[in-house]
Amino acid sequence: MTPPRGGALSPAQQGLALRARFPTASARITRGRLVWTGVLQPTPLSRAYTIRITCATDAHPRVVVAHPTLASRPDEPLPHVYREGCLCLYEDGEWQPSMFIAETIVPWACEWLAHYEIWKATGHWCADGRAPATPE
Amino acid sequence: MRNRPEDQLEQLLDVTVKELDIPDQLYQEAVDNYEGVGTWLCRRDEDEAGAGCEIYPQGSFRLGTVVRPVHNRDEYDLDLVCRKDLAKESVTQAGLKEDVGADLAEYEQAAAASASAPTLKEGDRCWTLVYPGDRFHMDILPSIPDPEGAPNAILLTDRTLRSWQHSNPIDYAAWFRRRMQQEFVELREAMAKALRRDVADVPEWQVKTTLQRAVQILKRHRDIFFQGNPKERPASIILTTLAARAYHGGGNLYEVVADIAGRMPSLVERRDGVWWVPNPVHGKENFADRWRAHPERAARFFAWMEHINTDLADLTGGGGFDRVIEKLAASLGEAPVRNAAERVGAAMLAERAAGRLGMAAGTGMLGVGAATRVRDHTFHGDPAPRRRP
Repeated sequence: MTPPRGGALSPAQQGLALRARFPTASARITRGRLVWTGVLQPTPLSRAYTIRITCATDAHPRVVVAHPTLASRPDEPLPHVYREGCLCLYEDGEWQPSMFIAETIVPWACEWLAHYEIWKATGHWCADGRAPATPE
Repeated sequence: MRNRPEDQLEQLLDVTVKELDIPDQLYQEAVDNYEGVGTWLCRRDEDEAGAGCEIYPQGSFRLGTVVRPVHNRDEYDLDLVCRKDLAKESVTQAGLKEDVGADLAEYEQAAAASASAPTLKEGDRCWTLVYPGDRFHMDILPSIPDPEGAPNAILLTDRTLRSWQHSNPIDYAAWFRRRMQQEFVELREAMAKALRRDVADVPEWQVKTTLQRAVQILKRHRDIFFQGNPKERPASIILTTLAARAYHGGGNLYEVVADIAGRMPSLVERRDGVWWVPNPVHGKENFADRWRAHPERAARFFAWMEHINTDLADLTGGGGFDRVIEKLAASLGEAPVRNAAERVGAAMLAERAAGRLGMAAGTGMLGVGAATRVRDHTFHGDPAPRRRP
């Protein structure tokens, strides 16, 4: 395993912190990459979502919703997702490899899910602090 | 944002009711206008010693249970009583209605120059002042004191202008208030404390108990349910009376409204084969009297009650918050529920920005004060899918 550089946390350290908060979730390290699979229910009326987070040292974590399949609205693509389906949780610079995924990426994913459910019903993403840019 | 499904439902319902309520500014405008009308209508009676005159609101406006009309183009309908202190023998119904109408016509002329000048229209039992802007109109019901009734009892002119109609909106409203007195006092004190004001400085109409909000939810559900068939709608006075009798104090709004709706059908009495919803301040009066001639209306009422109970129970049935929003929108209307859901989302964002939003370990449940604080961040990208940075 490559030792972490510049204060970056290793997959093992990330895995330990995740395990401390989500003891029943699975956190495995394969070929230097952390694969965490956990179930998150962001609000009492929300579904339970199976989330998979993969992360290598010094890289941006990838977050996908494994189950259930996310649904879009008629004629409206899912907001705040990358083309390959990962969730867009932060802007450049807001996340550093020195930050714990359990304290940043996971709560942000929960927030994403809560806003997704409201968006699904209303067509409005309520968590944009600024006006959304024009779609590409 | 809170831990039980019922708590989250309460939050959504609470904001929905605010969407359905009459906006503060419109309420204030309506009050200013009816006070103006009152001063005008009673100006002569005040000159002469003795014969009094009073204008006061009745029905939902007095009870604090006004709900937004289902269609945006429809106006809020506010009922006012104009009580002229005349002896029953000294006046006919037609004469009373004409007198009040003539006075209102003068008022219409006198107010014509102002920007909010109303237009006067004649209805079956009342006069209507329609205010510009299509936002509200006021029905003004001419009345005289009821010499045989309680001090606040009145006689209203009837559609046919033959037999007087008994009514007592003041005592009815006092009965309704008594039903919720404890919660009302507690809420008003809490509001005063939060605003750092004296209790007396918190206007009564700004205090909304769970009973008032439950009645608003019931009325709105009824309005949507009977949208295609408004004539069969159970009267608001029946709903309000049964709800106030079923109510046993405040609590979680969702649980209170579900509890009230569950009890209401059994509070309709059956007396010698006749459905009875007695007027709580005039026991001989049956609010459900029309069901005698129209038994299908009783059937529709019970069918509706069954429906609302199913709808309310369904809300805790799971399937995601989006499903709950959609179900509630089907019951209470698309726009107010959608707006309410967006406000719930905005409130969650505001909690995070204020550093109060947290995530619970083990479940990921978000809530104020939960263990792991949700740090500030920006959901990346615009609404369309993007490439990773």
